[in-house]
Amino acid sequence: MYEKKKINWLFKLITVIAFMIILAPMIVIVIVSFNATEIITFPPQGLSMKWYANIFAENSKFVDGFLNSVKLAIVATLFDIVIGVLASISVTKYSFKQKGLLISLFTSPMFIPSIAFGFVLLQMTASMRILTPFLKILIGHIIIILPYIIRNTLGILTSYDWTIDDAAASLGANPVKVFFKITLPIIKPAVLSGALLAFLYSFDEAVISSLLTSAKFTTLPVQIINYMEFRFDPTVAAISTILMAISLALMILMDKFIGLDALTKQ
Amino acid sequence: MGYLTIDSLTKKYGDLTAVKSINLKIKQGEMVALLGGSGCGKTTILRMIAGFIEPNAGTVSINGKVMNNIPAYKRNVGIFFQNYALFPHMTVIENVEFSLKLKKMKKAEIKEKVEYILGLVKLEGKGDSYPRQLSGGQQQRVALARALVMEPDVLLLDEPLSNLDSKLRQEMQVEIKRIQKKLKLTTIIVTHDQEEAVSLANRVVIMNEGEIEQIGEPGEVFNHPAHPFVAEFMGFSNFMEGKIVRKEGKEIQIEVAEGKVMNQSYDRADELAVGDAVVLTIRPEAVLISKTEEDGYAQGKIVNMTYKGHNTMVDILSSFNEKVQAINVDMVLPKEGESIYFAFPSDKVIIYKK
Repeated sequence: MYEKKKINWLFKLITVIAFMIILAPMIVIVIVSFNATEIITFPPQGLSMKWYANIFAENSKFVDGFLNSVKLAIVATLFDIVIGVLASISVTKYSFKQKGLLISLFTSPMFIPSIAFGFVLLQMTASMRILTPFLKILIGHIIIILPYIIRNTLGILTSYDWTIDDAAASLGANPVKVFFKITLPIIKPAVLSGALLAFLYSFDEAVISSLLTSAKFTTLPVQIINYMEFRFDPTVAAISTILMAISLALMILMDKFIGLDALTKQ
Repeated sequence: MGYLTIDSLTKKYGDLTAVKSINLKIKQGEMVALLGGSGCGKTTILRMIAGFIEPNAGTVSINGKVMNNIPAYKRNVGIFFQNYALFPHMTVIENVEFSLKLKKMKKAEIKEKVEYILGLVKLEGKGDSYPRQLSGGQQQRVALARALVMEPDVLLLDEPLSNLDSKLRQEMQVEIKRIQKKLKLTTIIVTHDQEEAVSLANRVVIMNEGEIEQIGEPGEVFNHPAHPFVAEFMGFSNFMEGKIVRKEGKEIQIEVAEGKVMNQSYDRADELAVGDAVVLTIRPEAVLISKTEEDGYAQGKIVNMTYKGHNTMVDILSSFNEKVQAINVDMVLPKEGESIYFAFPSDKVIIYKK
């Protein structure tokens, strides 16, 4: 019994240290964002909200960047939910040759360096005048975030019992009704958890966006990089604090509606 | 003209022919069992009737209407799946009312029908549970209720009792029969269990490798199997090959091995002639055994005994080197290796021409 107690104590210590390593920088950022001085210092000297005010200042483009990033992430995620769910169903419900190849192809964007992918996309789209910077970045994001939705959806569909769909058909449901009343509601938790990951990745993406960006359209991560080239004050810490709060809120909402275990259970 | 007519139905998967030109006519309100081992094509037939797969040739018609090219959701064929296939995200009531809601029935009518059917399968008070909260037997009754509530033209049951323990099995057998009779449903039940088939169905269809071996009433297929294959499936054993060497009235003599003959009295001896190569079979429980030599009994040696609770399976090696299996209920048996006498009663033996 003594031995067991000792191990328990050791594990507790390791867990606490691990969490401190993960959480400490975030806590520092939150504290720094309320710092009164221009130079980032720790421990903080004086309390101030001026960096938060700075985000929303008239000449600041952070709000525009934030809205652009949200718009981009929402459109790309919605688009990929449709493609991802249909693609996942096609490779799980039907068996055909080269099925494995198709699955690899669907998930391959995960393994291509985004700098290389961004460069290719820049080359390809440079001469296409009809594509606005928004559309260029959107195409890039649609491709790179697709694997997150497909992998999650495939996870649940590989163990999906298709006789359930047959049962619904025998009860009088046409294929459209089977999909919306049976298949989709059953796979929804996995699709949503994949969509959340995809959304966050798109929102956070900086490499492809910075290659394809223009003065008229910048995303928040690009805006932050641009800002930091000239100034190094706690405004970025204030933005980071807001973003962390939003992420936390999304997680809590997700947990409330579909359960966080859907995120880890695949 | 049957209510459900299957006409030269064929299904091929690549080189494999799963169902070979099957013909079957089922009357309205009749319950027919498709009986066969795994891979005999019985489930494939069911799936073609339901409309999940299209046949390569032949037709399925219900009430005179050809069903080919009519999608599953327009056929009004209720199907019960072996794994139940309940909708996991819906409660019992939502599962059962699914088909009624699709028909845009009035709320009050739906409620009435759902309540009636849940009463019929004895699931009152379970309406708001989710399938995962129910026991296997309860889930099964939900699946049955869901298929019944749509008032199908044809009801298909795919191995309905295979996942249940023996007590629940008995109960459900009675239930299914009762409900089927009450609603006068034209029903096909697919099973690999001959007892289930003969106790539930009005007619039994025995299948092997995509073909029908025999169609008949339960008593007929159970007691007079048409081929040795059917006989084996219906629980016959003690298959012995031989040649008829002598025949006098009902008394025939079969040579089962070089120089070894067996005398057997057979009621339907007229169908046989001297020189015919034959296969003889009898159920193990019909074999008579005795510790002492009696008239008409042959001698053998006990090689193995398996105690099965209410009976004992006795493996005998006969004096002419044939293995004989007998089931003994209440006799005090000699020990293994000791001598025993056995006989085949003439009305229990079947002799097939090869």
